[in-house]
Order: sequence, then C-alpha cells, then structure tokens
Amino acid sequence: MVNKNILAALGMVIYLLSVVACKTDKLVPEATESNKSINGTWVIASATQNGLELMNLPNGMTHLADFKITFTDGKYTIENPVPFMVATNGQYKFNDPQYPFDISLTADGSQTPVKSTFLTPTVNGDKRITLTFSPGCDKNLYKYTLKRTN
Amino acid sequence: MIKRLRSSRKKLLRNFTLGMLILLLSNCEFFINSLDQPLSANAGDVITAKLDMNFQTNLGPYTARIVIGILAPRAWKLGQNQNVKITYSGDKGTGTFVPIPSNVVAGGAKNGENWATRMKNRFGIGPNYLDDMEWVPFWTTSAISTVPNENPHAVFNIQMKVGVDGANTSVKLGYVVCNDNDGIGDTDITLSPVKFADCLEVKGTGDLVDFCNPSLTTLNPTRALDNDYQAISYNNALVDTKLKGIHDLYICATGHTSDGKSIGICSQTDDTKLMETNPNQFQITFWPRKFFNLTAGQTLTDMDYYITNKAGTARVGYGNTDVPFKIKFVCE
Repeated sequence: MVNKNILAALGMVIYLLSVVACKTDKLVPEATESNKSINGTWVIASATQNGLELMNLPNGMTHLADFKITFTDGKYTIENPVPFMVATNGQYKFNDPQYPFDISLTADGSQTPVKSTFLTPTVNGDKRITLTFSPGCDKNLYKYTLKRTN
Repeated sequence: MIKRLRSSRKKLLRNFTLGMLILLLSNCEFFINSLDQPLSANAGDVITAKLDMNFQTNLGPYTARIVIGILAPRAWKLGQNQNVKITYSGDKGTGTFVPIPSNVVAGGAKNGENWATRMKNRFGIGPNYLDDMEWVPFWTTSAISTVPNENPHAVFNIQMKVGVDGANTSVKLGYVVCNDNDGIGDTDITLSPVKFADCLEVKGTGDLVDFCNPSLTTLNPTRALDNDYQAISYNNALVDTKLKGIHDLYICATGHTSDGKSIGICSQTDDTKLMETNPNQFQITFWPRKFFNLTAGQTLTDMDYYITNKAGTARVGYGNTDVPFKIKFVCE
C-alpha cells in the first residue's frame, strides 16, 4: 500500500517535471529573434501634445495623417514632415539592439542625435512604436504612436 | 482535502468581506478652514500660502500620508528644483512634504492614473481660462496615524517660487488636500476638498499671460517655438465685434523671421480657416514652420494676426481694436 503510494507520487513527480521541462524549453527565447526589426514604413496612429489628442483635429491643420517614416537597417527616411524628433532623413540607433528602450535619430549632416524612449505596445495583434519627444520648447511633450503601413 | 479547501474558501470570503468593510470605512474627512495667499508678487519671488485644515476621523484607527496638490502654470515648473517647500504643524506635530513620483498610482484612480493626472481629470483648471496648467502633487514624508473620533488641526505652510519663467502672469492657483488611501473621489468632495485662490498677479516681463480673465484669443500651449503645434482659440461671443454672428472665420497672419523677413499669409483658404469647436468658439491649430513655408535655415521669432471674415473685409485684433494679436515664439 505504502509502496504503491510512493510509486504513484514518484510517477506524478516525473510527470510534472517533464511537463515543466517542456514548457521551460518553449519559454527560452530564440537567440536570432533578437533585434526587434522595425524595417518598413510607419504612419502615425495616435499623437498627443502635452496629453491633448491631436489626431481628432482636421488633417488640414496638423497633416499628421500624411507623415511617413521608413526604417531600413539603421537608416530612416521621412515623407511629409510634421513636428517630429528630426526634420530630415538620417540614421537611427538603439541603445541596446537586443532589448531597446531608447532610440536615437541623427539627421544627415547633424552631429547631435535626438533621443526618445522606445516602447512597442501591441494593439490588436499589431506592433506599434511609441515615441516621446519635444521638437520645440522642452516643456511641450509630444507622444506619437506609429503603426506599420504594410 | 475538500474540507480544507472549503474552510480556506470560507476564510478568503471572510477576509475579503472584512477588507471591503475596512475600505468602505477608511474615510477621513478633510476641511479647509481657510486659505491665505498673497495676490501679488514679482517673478521669481517665493510666496507663502497657508492652508488651515482639520481632518476628522469618525472611525479608525487610520494611518495615511497626507497629499497636497497645487494647480499652477506649467511654465512655473513647481514640481522641479525644489520650487515648492511645504511644512505642516499642528496637533499631529510637525513635518514636511515631498513631491510624489510620477509613477505612483493615485488613491481612488480607476484607470491607474498618477496623482497629477487624477487631479487634472477631476478638477481641470478650476476657474482659470488657459489650459496650460498642471497639478503638482506632494505628500508627507511619513504616514500620520489617527484614532476614532479625532479632529486634529494643522496649518500647512506652502512656500512657492512663482513665475520662474519670468513672464507677466495672472493666475488663480488651486489647492487640493486628501490622504493617499482615499485619494480623490469622483463625487465625494469631503475626502478631497479643493480651494482656488483669488487672482494672483505676478510682475515679470513681456506680454501678460492671463489665466484669470477671458480674452478674445487664447494660445495653447502658451509658450511655443515655430516647431511646435500652436493652437489659437477665438471667442466670438465675448464682446460685440465686427465678426459677431459670423461662423466662417479665418486667420490673417504675418510671420517675422530671425533673418529679418516678413511673410504674409492672408488669403482665406482651408489652411487659414478656423473650425467652430463649440457655438461661437473657434480654433485653429497649425505648425508655424509649415504655415509660413519656412526654409530649413529660417526661424520664426514672432507673428501678428487678425481674425477675419471670408471676404477679408472685416477684421478683429487685440482687445477688439485694429492692433493685431501677437505671438512671440519663445520658451521662457
């Protein structure tokens, strides 16, 4: 009786261990799925200035819906500029390629990178990028959330 | 096994009910007996506001930190550089307040807002007219304990450096007091009474930033550069102007650049049209760099503007005169 119980318990432990082992295996991130590629063209999904929503204003006033930024392996290009971290094309860099929480944009011909926090919330299964910056007075804070066009 | 589960479920239920009861009862009512605050100062002065308070506890015992929020122009940066020093003294002894970090969720916040956001959502800008203000939250460095039926009295001494931006400003500062457990309720004002001072005139330089009085046009943000979005609101119901009753309004502007050029944008198009946000309330938001078609090397220093009708024949300027409204593109 006692032996049976011990055997059953042992079996349970082995079973549990194997289940846990399998799960742990799946949780380990693949080393290649690293650099959070942002290659592609992005448009503005939402934008605030000092916490006030800008996207509900007519696009004829803000032109935010026309803005496009394309990231390609360390370079970016801008179409239809709006108040943003940078005004012209250039290069971008993460503080940590593996787990970035900062992105720096350096316009061509400029020596000064402009830094923003880099957040990637997921909305309806799509990755977004949220950038926070001050293109004018430093107390005017803008938050743009970008979504991929394609 | 099942028995044990059942008993632990019972225990959970009992603890939960007890917890809810404590939550419901953990009310400590605050009363602002008086607010004493100067009504004039020079930019950069330190002024002292005194809040005379009682906090009444019918039940308890309670232990909580006291929270004070101050509503002020954002340009004053009250939350930074120790621009505010608050001490209290009274029946519970003496102590000091420190700023509440922005990652602390406010008591009573349903959506995880921090204290500054919670206060802004609940009380807005009070009786002020320009929405370029912020609530800056502070709390006691340690919790204060009370026993049932206590009604301790305290005076909060708030020292504030006003007008650090150096601008001529008139503003009605606001004060809210609560404890960090109860926070700020949606309806019950006894837990978080709020008081707005009369208009404080701060003498500085430049055009008056007037939070106290309605004006024909208001700017948001009140301080911006040509690379910011600038919103101009126009109140077509404040006084009788040439544009009274007209709903098709435009802006006629002249921008001045640092290289000495003047750029006029005065045709009545979609780019210059104001939208009616509320009856007789109009607004236009624009990016000055694009509005005036500046080149990469150009900077806008200031602009003059009028509000006009569609034909451009009737125009309204500053104070309903023929002098244009002015915007200076500076941060301080």
